[in-house]
Amino acid sequence: MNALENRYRQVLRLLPAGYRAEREDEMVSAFLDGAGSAAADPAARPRWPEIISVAALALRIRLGGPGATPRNLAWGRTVRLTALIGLAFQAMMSCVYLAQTLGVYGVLPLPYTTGEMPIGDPASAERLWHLTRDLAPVLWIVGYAALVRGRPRVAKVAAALGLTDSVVSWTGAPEISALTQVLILAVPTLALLAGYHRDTKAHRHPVRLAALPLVAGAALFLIMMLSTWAMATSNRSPQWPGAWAWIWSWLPPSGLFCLTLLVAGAGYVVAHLAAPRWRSASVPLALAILTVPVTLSRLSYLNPGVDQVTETLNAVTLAQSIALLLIGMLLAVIGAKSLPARAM
Amino acid sequence: MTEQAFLVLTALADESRHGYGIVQEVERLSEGRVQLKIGTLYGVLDRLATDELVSLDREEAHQGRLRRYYRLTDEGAHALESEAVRLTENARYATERLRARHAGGTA
Repeated sequence: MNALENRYRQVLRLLPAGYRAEREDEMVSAFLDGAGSAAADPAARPRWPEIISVAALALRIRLGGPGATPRNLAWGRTVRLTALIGLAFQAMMSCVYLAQTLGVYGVLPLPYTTGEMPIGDPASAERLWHLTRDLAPVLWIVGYAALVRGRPRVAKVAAALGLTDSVVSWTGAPEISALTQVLILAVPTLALLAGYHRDTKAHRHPVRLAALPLVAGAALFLIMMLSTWAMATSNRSPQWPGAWAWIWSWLPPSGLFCLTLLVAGAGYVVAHLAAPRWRSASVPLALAILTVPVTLSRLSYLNPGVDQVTETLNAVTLAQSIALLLIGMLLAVIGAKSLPARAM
Repeated sequence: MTEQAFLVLTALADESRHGYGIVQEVERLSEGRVQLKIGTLYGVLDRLATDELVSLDREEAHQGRLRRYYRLTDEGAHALESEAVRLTENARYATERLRARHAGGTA
């Protein structure tokens, strides 16, 4: 075995063991045929495009491409479900953001004042910039709807643009909490890019599934509007903030995502125990994957303040993080045990 | 059918070929435009084999290395023919429209 053959065999270690056992020798032969006289050069190395093509093949096989084992197929479903749930949540939140934007620009009357928002003068370049950024959440709605309606390529472009917008926002205010928000968006976007590869068949789901996060987003906006109005009217009370200190930690996007995952996770565990026919590896694993960025995001909200309100906020945030960690670990164990056995 | 799959099936239409032989033939058929990487080739071959459009023909040892030859199946020949007819029809429509456009422009 010459040096180049040895290096090609090392590159092929990216492939799953079962696939490698079947294909390694003929792939090495094809690589060396392509290398020609360079195959005898001890300094010759595999080229990067070749390595990338093997890495892409390895990813597709591990996520359910042709020749995948039942375990690989389950991981493929898990990654695609991670993308779907992540995008559904972002689509729901985007409805809230867009409704708030309409309020700020005076299109939608709100029962409370939004204060002076820096949106620039009418018909100015600054207004156009702010409007473009404020309308960016629509990308997540487009991405989710496209995914549900069987257009993953459109979904990928929309999600990548939405993620780029959040990275631009983070570079403008590089704080840890903003970075973890980017992570919450990055995980489903990467899952979307990796999971919906060309060997997966796109499913066209009913329109009502595409509309579900939009309806949930509208309902959430009403709840948020009422909560903000209630806070605005009660902040002159001598007992302020009172019970609100226990609620605030649930209202940011990661707090709402935390609540969603805790309810969904607990619901799945109950269903898993009560109805064996509903058992699945993909659902608990996808939920467990999403608990990771959300837990990090909640932890980034911990504040070193020592007053009573801050202590309450920190206690709730810490409880959220611990609950997410526990449900995430439980779901990961259930999911791992439900996976088909490794191919021998 | 993707262009890569179409070209791989076309490369196997006249004779069975091994992995690098397919890469060379696809490059020749596309006049150098499509240069399949080995990882990409095996992804395409896996997909075509799953759809039973290609199958393993034989194995040979060449300079001490394994070469597997792949051949077009009857289903593969039928799929290739259908795709070729579709592409020919599309090309014919485009040519007719362009001819009419040029005739209108010069009238």
